[in-house]
Amino acid sequence: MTAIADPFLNNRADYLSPASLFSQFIVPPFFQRISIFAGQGSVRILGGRGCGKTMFIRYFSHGSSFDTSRDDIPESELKTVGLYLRPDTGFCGLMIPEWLGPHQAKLAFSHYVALNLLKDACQSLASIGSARFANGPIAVGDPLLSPALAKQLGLTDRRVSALEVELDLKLVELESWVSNPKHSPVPSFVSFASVLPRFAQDVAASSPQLAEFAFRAFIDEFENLQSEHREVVCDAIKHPSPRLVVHIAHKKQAVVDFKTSSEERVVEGHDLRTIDLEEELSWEGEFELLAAELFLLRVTQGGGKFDCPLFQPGLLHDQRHLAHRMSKPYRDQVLRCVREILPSPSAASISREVIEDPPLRRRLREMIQKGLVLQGLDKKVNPDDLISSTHPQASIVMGALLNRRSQIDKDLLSQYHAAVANPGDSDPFFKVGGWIDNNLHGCLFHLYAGLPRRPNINYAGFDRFCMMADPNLRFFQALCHATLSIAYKRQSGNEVSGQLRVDVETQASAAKQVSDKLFQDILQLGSHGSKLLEITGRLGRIFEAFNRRRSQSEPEVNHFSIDNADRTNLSSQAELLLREAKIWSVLYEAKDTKNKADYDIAQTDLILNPIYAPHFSISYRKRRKVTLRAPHADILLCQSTAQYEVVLKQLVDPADQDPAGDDPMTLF
Amino acid sequence: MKFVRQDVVSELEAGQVGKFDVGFYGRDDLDDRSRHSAALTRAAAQKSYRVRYDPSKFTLAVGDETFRVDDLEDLFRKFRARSLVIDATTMEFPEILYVLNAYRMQHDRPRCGFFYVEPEGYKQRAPNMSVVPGNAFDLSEKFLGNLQLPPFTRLLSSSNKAHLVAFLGFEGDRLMRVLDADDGYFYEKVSIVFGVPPFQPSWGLHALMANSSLLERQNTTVLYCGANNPRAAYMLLKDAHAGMASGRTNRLFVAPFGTKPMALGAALFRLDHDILSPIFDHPVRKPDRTFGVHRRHWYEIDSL
Amino acid sequence: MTFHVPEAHIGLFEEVERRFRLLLSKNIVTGITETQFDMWLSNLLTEEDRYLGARLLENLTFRSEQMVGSAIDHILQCILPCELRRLGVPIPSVDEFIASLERGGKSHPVRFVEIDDPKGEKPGKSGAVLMRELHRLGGVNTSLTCLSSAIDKQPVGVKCLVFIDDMLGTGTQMETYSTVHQLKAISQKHHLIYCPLAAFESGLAHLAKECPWLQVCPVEVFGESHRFFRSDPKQPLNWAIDKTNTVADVRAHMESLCQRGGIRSPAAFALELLVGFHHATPNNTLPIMHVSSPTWHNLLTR
Repeated sequence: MTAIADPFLNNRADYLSPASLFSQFIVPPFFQRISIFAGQGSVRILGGRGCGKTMFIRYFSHGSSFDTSRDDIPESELKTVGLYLRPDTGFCGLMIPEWLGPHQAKLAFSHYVALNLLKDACQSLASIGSARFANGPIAVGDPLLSPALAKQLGLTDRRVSALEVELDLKLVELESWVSNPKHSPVPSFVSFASVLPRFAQDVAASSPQLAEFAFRAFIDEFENLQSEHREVVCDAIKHPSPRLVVHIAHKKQAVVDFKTSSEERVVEGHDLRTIDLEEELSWEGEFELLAAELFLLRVTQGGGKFDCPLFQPGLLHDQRHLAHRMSKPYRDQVLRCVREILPSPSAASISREVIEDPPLRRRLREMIQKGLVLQGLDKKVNPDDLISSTHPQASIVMGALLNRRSQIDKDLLSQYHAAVANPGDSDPFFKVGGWIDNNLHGCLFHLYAGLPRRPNINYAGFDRFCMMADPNLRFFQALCHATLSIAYKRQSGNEVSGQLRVDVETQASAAKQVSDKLFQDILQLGSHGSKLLEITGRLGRIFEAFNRRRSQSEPEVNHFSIDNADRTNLSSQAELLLREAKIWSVLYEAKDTKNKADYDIAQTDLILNPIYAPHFSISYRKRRKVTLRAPHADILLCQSTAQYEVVLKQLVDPADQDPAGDDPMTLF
Repeated sequence: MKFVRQDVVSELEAGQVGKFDVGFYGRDDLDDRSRHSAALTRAAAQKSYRVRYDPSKFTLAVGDETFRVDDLEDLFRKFRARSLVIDATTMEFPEILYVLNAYRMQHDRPRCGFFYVEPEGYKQRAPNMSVVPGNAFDLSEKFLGNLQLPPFTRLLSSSNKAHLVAFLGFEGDRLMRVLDADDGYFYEKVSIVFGVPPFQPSWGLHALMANSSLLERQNTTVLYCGANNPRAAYMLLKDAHAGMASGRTNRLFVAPFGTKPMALGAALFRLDHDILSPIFDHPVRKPDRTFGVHRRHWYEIDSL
Repeated sequence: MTFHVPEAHIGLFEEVERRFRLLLSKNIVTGITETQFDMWLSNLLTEEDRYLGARLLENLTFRSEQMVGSAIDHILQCILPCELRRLGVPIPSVDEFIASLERGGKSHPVRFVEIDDPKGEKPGKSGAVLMRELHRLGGVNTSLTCLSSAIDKQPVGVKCLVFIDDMLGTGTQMETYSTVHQLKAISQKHHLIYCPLAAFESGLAHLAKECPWLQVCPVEVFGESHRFFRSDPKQPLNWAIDKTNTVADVRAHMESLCQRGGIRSPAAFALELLVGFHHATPNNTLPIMHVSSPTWHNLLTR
């Protein structure tokens, strides 16, 4: 029996057969906003782990475009028959000059690509044969290849069916030779850039209905190819053929050059257009909708029930229905439904919780008390007088305000009492951009961080899950899986009685659990995983320390930046690690938008992936940053722990912090 | 080949295993047990040579000679032997596999003995340090490009996926790194093998629970194999092979990340069955990571 | 300060509970149902109870059915061929030895003896289970197994009697068994090898002294470092496991839990081990794991 949480785990594209992929794919909103493959040129699809890059590519592969559950397929699809190759990087790692000799390495790789793509090409004919086109089925038959192509491939029998058999033999031949070049016959190589278009040409010639038959080939995991192999692919990008367009996919930052075999380079924009999946998914509110639909789809798969008549799983897989899904009534209904299942406590309700819950209230009281001592007011004012049950937000930010060393307004106390008595648009607390707006969240994170035992409800709620996971759907599903597992254990959707709804504490516990695990998983990322883990830990501790400051003078510090002018002073090791951190989405880079024009004072912001926020009990909202000079950044990234500790003390005044517990030892 | 012996031997008995024509050993300078084991090996051999595999050049250095791994017939021609003694403590898995593979090509296949010495203990690691699998060259762009060991390579594709049998050491992260990079694409089925019964009592629930990331994965089975029982590792692979149904998952891969005796079992299986494809991540061993000498093991097979 | 949950380990119980459930669901811990686990957890009422419970689970060495199978393989493929050769029994190869065990037959030099409870009090003791596993998982032909009562009736051609047991604790049980079945005299006729799957160091020492004619070959050896209440070598008053609570406080809390549950607490000279097998729990495992009462659910089965 599937537990209601189980479908949230089946989220790797690779576990899905081509047929079922189509029914699992949710067309993201950006399909409507940008033209994905319009025009002739090559496209590179960028995206980190978990943003659906492989799902996306395979959606455009023939298995999915010609899926039998689709009807009314336009014949224009025949102009862009999608082929998919994920190179076996282990095997490709042997097609290098050191093993095969300089000349053979590239030829072998091109041959490898050719054989694999030809296999997929033969299978595409089968997909087309069973597809439901708008104008009726297309009889593909068993086309004959041209004599030229047959000669190139060494075929006596020119039928495509014969080619399929021959391809397996050729792959075995290639495998034997690459494994043991001295003791196996050298294959006669073909270049994929020449055979694929010829194949397409021959198929086009075989039937008038197929006259415009052409391929688009996707090469996944481009960053893991040897540099010589990337050149081979870039050659095909630089010199496209009418019947074959080559697209690539890779992680952001992971590839810096696009050299070809000659002096030419593939030029971004001109030869190669970019689709940045993460950017597109994060676009204004679109991630929320996609996440909500994904959530409801998975819940449906787990047998769960909810009230959302406009939501129909069948509409998710085809671009045709996108307009309906982008309509306001649909969006509103879907989001409302999910928000009922995963409610987010508002800042106001969290504030009330602080006042009503004894340990939190005590913590606030202590914070206020310490502030009063700092201001020399402890003899005159009783902290309890500053805790209001009607307007807790004001009390909470008072805690921070009182702890600020800088001259506080001598009228602060009376302003407080006035605001609490009669909150309005003009008092410094409640006005827009006032003290509450600027400090409440920071204070809430501060108060909760001091009680690590307590589920931190600042992380609860569908909207918060989205903010932490965006644009990573895998993270989002991990949060949902943990939430539903804790709430419903092994029950299936059918067994759940009553309304599907998870309380905020459970959601908060789930967020912490997932964040902790993903933090530990950093160890596995790339060849520098352990360094990345250390760096993340160090950064997190800095932000934790900021969060522990009672003054909250800069609330919600959770990213850092380096002056662009200072960047050059970073050691190459530090740069390498920064790049690795970005490749694996441990850190995101954002350009400083305020100082775009002036390069010298412009900075590059480096944001810790918000999914790690619950692990450190810090804010996930991008608010304030700390600027690091290059030497400090260098220490943080690659120097010893002892040096790091020194920097930590320099950045955050220990006197201002609530004492931390022992560094939480990793439990496992 | 037959498994003749799988003994625990005293120091005295270790000196009485007999004389072998040629002995091979690896990095014997790393720690106490390495020095001890290499010395035992050299004492049991008429002539002995140091072996080192270079993954960036695909060459095996043996004594003063160097051989490419597709030219290993030259190895046995140069160092003819009717009997071999191998220091499994100091030689890495690829080195063991390549040397044995070379001698398998000799007309009279030699009989082989293997020493393996357990350390008394492992140095406590500083909290933030971990042994990072290194490679002979920087792989930041070519991550995990050289896990394959030619000529034992197989090609994987959308219609040729693999069942990966992974022998596990204490920490799962070596395996997690491999599985993470693969992301479920080529390794469709994974069998994790814990070394139970272990050398010293371990694999309490704490250690098992530490591998929850691995255990939560889909398509993952858990198996057990004695930590110092190469024959058991061999038989486990035999069962895995027998259990392979026809269909898409038609390749058998092994990741010998556990104990050396388990790796030895895997190497011996590969010699008998070319269905198996080993992968290896070439960890860089730190000196003095272990200390002391605990038990000595002596394994013997009748002929390669 | 009394027994408390150290600051750094506040979330430990939730983590351990979750992971233990995972082990159950993946059949890494076998012989315990999830319901049984839930019931045992319900014994733990306070935060401190739960913390102690988490530490107990973490430090449990559990040998599942499959693991026992692997241990049997180790005995048959590593321990026995080596020991038999030392005793002068010719064994051409491990492969042939295994094949011979499968064939069985009267002329085989080895017999496996089913250890029974010398006092005859406990039926279905692990001895019988282990014999069955020896056959089922190890492939040993049943013609090579015999009951304790038949020890003195073995033909002269039998060179060696092998006793397989799950746990050797203090050694007194085996000592008693040896006396009841007059093993010392038997050792003149046949070599005697005793293979406990798990053995405690003091038990090994005890048998070495009291039964030197018995060759003891344990699969796994446990020592002081596996005792639950062991102290931190650097700070002997503190508990080694979390280096924060004192040993006295941990014992006190265990005591209070046991009293509340109406179960017996660890005896004064108990081994304080946490070892469990799929088929049974040794009696020197902490009672809190396997004893039950009207007010206390057990986790492991004795």
